Formats: sequence, structure tokens, C-alpha cells
Amino acid sequence: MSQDAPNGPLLDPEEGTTRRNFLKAAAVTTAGVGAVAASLAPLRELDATFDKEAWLQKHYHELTPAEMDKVLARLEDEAKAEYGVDVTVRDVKPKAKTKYAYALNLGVCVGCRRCAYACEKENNTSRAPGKQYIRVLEMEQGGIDLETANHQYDPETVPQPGKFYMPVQCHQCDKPPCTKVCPVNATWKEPDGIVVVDYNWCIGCRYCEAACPYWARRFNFEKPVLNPADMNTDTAYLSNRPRPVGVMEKCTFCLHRVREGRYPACLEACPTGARAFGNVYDPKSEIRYILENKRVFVLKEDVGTLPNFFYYFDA
Amino acid sequence: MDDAPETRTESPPNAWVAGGVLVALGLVAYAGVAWLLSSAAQSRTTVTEARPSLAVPFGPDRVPLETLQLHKAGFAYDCDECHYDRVRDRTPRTFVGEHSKLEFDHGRNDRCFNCHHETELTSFVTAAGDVLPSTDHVKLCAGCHGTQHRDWLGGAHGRRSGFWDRSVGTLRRTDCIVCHDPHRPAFRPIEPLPPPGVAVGPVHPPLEPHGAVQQILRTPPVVEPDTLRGPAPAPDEDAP
Repeated sequence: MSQDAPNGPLLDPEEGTTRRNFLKAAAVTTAGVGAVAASLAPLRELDATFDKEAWLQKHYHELTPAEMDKVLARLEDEAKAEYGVDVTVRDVKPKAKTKYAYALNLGVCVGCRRCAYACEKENNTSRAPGKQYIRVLEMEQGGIDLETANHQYDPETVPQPGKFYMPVQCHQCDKPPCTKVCPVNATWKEPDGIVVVDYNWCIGCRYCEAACPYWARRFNFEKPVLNPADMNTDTAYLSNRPRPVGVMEKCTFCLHRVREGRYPACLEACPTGARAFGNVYDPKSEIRYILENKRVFVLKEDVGTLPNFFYYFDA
Repeated sequence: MDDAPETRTESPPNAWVAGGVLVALGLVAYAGVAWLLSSAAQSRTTVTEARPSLAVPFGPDRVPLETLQLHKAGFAYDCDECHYDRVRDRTPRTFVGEHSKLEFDHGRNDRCFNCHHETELTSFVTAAGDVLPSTDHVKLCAGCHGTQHRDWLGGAHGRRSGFWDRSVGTLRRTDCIVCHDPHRPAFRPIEPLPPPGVAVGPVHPPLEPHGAVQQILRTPPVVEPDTLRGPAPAPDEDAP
């Protein structure tokens, strides 16, 4: 007992388990467990709303196929509970040897916004206020002056004389600044060139929105307002499934459509045929014909984002 | 003085052991709480194949053009019923008689028999004067609009729908006269859809400002409609 100092170690190995040491350790342990339980107490208050599986869900890249099936089933259940609609959520994987590109003929675009509304319907974006991925800019003919461009134009008819119209959406850049700034890797570029967002991983910091030079990303400040009767029930995990509040979203070239070989919704909606889409690795594709034969340009080439969205003027 | 330094050097491992025990106990407690909170509904297995595809018709309704519908209907009338004994006049540049409803504005191409054959009225005429079947209207247009025809074949002109991947499905490509009225080929101005930020169609009522927290907790705020407005104006109060 000569080594019994007031500031001695908690458990003295030379001393063995004495009554004093046992009481010390028990007191500290009880306090620690109590502190941990107290820190977890708010979880108990969430009770019904707390979804353990959603909370503990892994990153998209770490999910095994079996785990992904569970996640998809859970998302379908959530959509059913939220909107009363049987939504199918799939995980559509990219095709091999495929890279998508888009071309838009500004010479025939009339600025009717059919594309923006087709996108809204296809991708289940919030309707109030309309959260559209495509922003159509009205500009004076003679130059591309983005500073004086007007996206709130609302004349009786379009096109107005002396104006031209430039729809802007996500350019799916090869050097996307939006993915670089994401602090949690919730957005990334897929092998087929599409920049996607994992809505269950996004923390809503909006850095990507600030980084995008094309204003292509949209944030759900509030829970998206959807009409259950008007919802698109064919959805994919990375594109158009119903989103929660507080996450980023963006154009994915209708990932769930194009990875099955279909055209994006905006392309099919365009009444003038201004839009073209295809696989740049396919030498016989339409997009290759345009890139090889038309004088295409990209928006804000000087920022070095290497977009996969091309504009050109043609009759 | 020799014993004290020895106990000092052994104290850090002991503290680490105690801390480790605490962390382990905390994890056990957390797992217990999470298990308590987890509902009985465990993961269910779903069949991921055979999902129905979405068949939503995209695109706006076209401007109903009587003349265009006539052409799209496939020339289901016989020109010779009226024209069997007429002396054909090459000069008129306007539509008369039965054709007066047609609107004609095709630039310098302002003669009927530039496209329609003089004697074979249900057929077209090529630039060389040969008869061109009416089903070959794309060739007729291509006779003058060769660059547009080339771009249409290549994919830079005209509307497309269906499948960009030909190995999966068929590509639908519109003919010239689906979009262009051959007698008045220029596009008419159309009404634009509303600018962004304007709700279209039936939707839920908009949420309250700062409703995000409420939505997380899934307890929708109960707001009486009257509290959103100011006091009602007095009956005798005139609008300014």
C-alpha cells in the first residue's frame, strides 16, 4: 500500500483488483456509458421518422448489388408512402464503349421552352416553383452576350425578331469543376461522361452550384412539390427518382433513358429538331456527323471545362 | 525516488485501455439504441427486371393546319376528277377555286408545276421533268434543298425520337412535310411556355417558407388560411 498515491494510475497492474480500483473503474465506466446514451437520446425522439437504413446507407460506389436492391426497394417504399404512387427505382449502369455528347442548333431553336417542361415532367423536378434544368436564354442577334441575356422572356409568340435563343443545361464537362469541390464525393463523373449526384449522399452545401460556370445545378431548398398524378414512375437512382429536401440535382442527359438507348426527353420534345444526341465513339452516329461537319462551339470555352454540349448555327 | 518514474511510464497504456473500454461500451450502447429503433420490417427482396417502360408522348401539339393535314393524309383524292379537261395555265401564282384555302409562301418557288406534274397531277415532277411518285416527296424537296436533305440523313436536321442506339430499338425520323407545310414551309411563330418560376398545372399548395425543418420531422405545419392574410378591409373602404 505504499504505492497508493492520489494521482496514481487508474488501474495499477501491480496492485491487482482491489475494491478501490474496481469502484474507480466502475464509476468511470458508468459515467461514460451514461454520457454516450445521453448523446444518443435525440435519436430516440425521431422514432418514427428515423430510418436507420437510410441513415447508415453506404456510398453509391460501396454498395454491393444486394445492398443496392435493398436501397432501391426502400426508395420505392418511401415514394409510395410519400406520394401514393408505385414508382420503380432502378440502378441503370453505363454502357460500355459509350460517351454521350449533345449538340444544339441555335439557328433553328425558337425558344419555346418545350424542352424545359418536358424535362420537368420526365425528371420529377419540383413544380412549385418550377425547378427546370434547362434555362433558355434570349439574346440579341449579333453576339453571345450572357450578361444581357434574358431568361424570363414571355412574349406572345417566339421567336421575336432580332433575337435568338440559347438553351443552357448541364454540359457534362470532361473537367467538371462541380465534382472537384464536393467535400463528400456525392457527385462524380460516370464512365459514359454523365455527371451524377447521389441524393442520399449529398449534404446540401451547394459548393457545386457555385462552382458550375453554366448555372446548371439546382438546389431543393424545400421539399419538391410534385403532382402524384403527373409523376414519372420510371426512375433511376442517379437521375429522376423523387428527391428529398436539401439536396442538389441537375440534368443527367436523362440517364435512365439514354443508357437504355433512348433519346433524352428534351430532344424528343423539341418541335424544331434543334437538338441532337448520340455516342461520340460511334463514327456513324448523328452527333459525330454534326461534330465533323458543322462549325460547333462550346459555351465559355475559356474556363476550360471541356463540355460535352456543343452549339452550332445552321439553317 | 526510483519507483515513482516507473509508475509514471506505465500509466499511459492503462489510460488507453480504460478509454478503449469506454469506446467499446459506447458502440454497444449505440448498437442497442439503433436496434431498438429499427422497425421489424427488414429488407425485402424485389424483382428488378421487367419494369414497365414509360410511354409518355412528348412534343407539343402542332399547329392544326388544314392543308398540312391534307398532305399528311396521303393524297386520298384524285386530282383528275376536276382537272380532266382543263387547260392548264402555268402562270397563276395564287390559289383559286378549290385551292383557295391553301396559303402559299414558298419564296421564289411560286409556280404550281414546279413541283406538281403538269399531266400526272397526282405525282410530282423532278427538276429534269420526270414523273416522281407522290410517295417520294422527300426526293422532291431534296431536289432544291440538297444541303438540308444531306443534314437530315446525317442527323443534323429534323426531329428524331425513339432510340439513338439502333441495336436496341428503332429510330423514328420525321419527313419534311411533317414539320413543314410544303406550300408555306417556314415555321410559324409559336407561343412559348411560361418562364421558369411559374407553376403550371395542378400542384400541391406551395409550402410555407422555411418549411424544410417541418418536412424533415414530417409534421406538416397546421396553418389556418386566415392567418396568412391581413385583416379584411372594411366594407366601406375604397381601394386607393
